[in-house]
Amino acid sequence: MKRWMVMRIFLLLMLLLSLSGASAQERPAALPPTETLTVLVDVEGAGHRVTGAYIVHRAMDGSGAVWWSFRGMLDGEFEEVDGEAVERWSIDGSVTVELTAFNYPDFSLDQLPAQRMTLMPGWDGLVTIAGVPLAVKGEYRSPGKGSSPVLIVTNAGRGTRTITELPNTSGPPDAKGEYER
Amino acid sequence: MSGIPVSRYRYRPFLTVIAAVALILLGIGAVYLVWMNMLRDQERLNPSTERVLVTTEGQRIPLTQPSPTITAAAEAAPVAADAPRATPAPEADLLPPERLIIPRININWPVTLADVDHLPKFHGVGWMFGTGFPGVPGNMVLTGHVGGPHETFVRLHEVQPGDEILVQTESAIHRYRVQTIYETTPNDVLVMAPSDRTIATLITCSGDWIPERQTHTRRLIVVAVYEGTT
Repeated sequence: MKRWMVMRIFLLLMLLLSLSGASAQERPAALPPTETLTVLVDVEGAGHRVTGAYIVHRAMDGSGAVWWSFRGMLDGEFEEVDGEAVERWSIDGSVTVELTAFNYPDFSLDQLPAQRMTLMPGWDGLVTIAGVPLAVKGEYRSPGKGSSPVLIVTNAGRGTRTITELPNTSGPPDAKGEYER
Repeated sequence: MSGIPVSRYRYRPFLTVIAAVALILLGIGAVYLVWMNMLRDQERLNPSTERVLVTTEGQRIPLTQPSPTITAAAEAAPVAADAPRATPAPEADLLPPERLIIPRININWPVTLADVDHLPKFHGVGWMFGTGFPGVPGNMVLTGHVGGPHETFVRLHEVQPGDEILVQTESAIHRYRVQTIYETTPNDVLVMAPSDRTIATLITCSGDWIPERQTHTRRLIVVAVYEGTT
């Protein structure tokens, strides 16, 4: 159930925002010139929290090819996933993103609830995914048209978070870990 | 008998239902638009994508993310005047840290984005949301647990000034050199404040364990200055 939830979150974020990138070893040998986009995500929903970074490599040759990877946490647990997508921009400024490959243990592309989504222009820093409004900082445009190098995505409406203490990185002294790698 | 055809009355209930449904949908649409506009206004005034440090004196310091329009330029700050000149990062991409390597204490941990209230529950290091990227001007803040089942910085106190710290991204390995090590109080949030220099700040807990608060009394801080890529 938890894996299904993270898959849904990954996909929805990916499709709506084209949050894509690919691990270097997965990409074809003869790469077209690419534009790199980093997307920092901190989103809560359905009792789960995803915090992590997408790295997106977008082809600049007009093919719309996208290689993406995600590295982050779901409720504190490490998650890593990568894949490929195609983005198609229309004259009216809308973009359709289709997921074409998805690499995650025991999960295939066919099991995803949707593989394609269209995003209309004019989102003005706010998008809604599955009923969850998300705040987006940064500009997302077609490759080579001046997208921000970094996009930041969080839940909308929760306001600026204040930090009054340094992170609590303690652990009970009597609960030592095995110090494994 | 009136001149109105019976068929006009026959469809009236259906037309009424359709009109009611249309009105309900319009109402939902209107509420949705109002809600989205309220959210937009709220986001303009109090953006959810931002983090702000609040000191004990009430000073508010925004944790500045890299400006969406900037072109990253890696400018290194040498540790000392006679130190070798730093090698700028080979590319302008802003890429997140993926691994932290500290040879002296035999550390080689994965790094993921984290938040003050969402820290790794695995053997990994948290890159604090809103802090700097590797190899570009800013304060990159990394945290690790000092104890418990997910301890990663248990030997951080053994690090010494001059030690090398390596931060790996997708495309490069960035080299930092430890400059200062000190302890401070948990509310000394200035440790995480943005910097014009290219530095990395490593944080873990230290001092006495407080069982009722499930934390330690102090924080160990290691500040390292960027030297270039390896």
